[in-house]
Amino acid sequence: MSDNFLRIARKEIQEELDALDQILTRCGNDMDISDNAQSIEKHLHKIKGLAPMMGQNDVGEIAKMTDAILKYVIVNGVLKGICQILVESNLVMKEVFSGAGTKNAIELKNKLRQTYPNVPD
Amino acid sequence: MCQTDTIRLSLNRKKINHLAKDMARIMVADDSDTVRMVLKDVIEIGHHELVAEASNGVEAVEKFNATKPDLLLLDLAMPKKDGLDTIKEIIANNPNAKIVMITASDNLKTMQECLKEGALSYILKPFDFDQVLKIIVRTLDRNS
Repeated sequence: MSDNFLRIARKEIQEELDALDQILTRCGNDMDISDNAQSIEKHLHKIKGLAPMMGQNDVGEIAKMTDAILKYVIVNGVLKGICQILVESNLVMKEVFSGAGTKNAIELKNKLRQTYPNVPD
Repeated sequence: MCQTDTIRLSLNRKKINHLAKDMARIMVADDSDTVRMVLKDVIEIGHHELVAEASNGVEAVEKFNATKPDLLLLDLAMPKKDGLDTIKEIIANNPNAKIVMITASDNLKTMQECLKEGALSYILKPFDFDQVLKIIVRTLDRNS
């Protein structure tokens, strides 16, 4: 991939991760997540589509799984533990995106599947 | 110059059986610079011409009306006017417009609504570049 393409793709994904960070910083509990579910989902949706295009497959997969969980929240309301797991997911996506390895991503994906087995990924 | 060399390599590895017979004038509407850049390269590799780009729904309608492309690749989730409303407005003035939706959504209901409003097909993000070219050619070949 060209440097220019990578620079633009990187900037766009970083902007989405930063925007997510800002929302999650304002959320203190599961109810806050439910109240902000649509705007959180919008950013996860973007990351889900963009990250795999620049080879960030783990980031794309985590975004895809959390996007599905957020859609569930939008339809069904508050989900227990969602605030904590979204904060953790965003942290892992940022780590992986900055090149810190994929070990935490694999663990997180397993945790997401175990915690919310009824939400399809 | 191809910005996304990976696309060219990926497509070169496969035998591309779906290059168009004739060059088509194609427009891309997506709020992501990355997506527009990728699609621009795919369009060029497919021997088509990118005639316009838009980064929101309002701009998409304006540029579609100004350039009358043979095909519009249209993102579903865009600022100012979403993809569904954009389709409705374009089809109202251009009933034979050929529109392919681009989306990361796997929401079947939304896609069915887009097809009902006049989109002819859809492409799921992240793209399979080969599949994008295939859908472009198949859609161009369709009679409105």
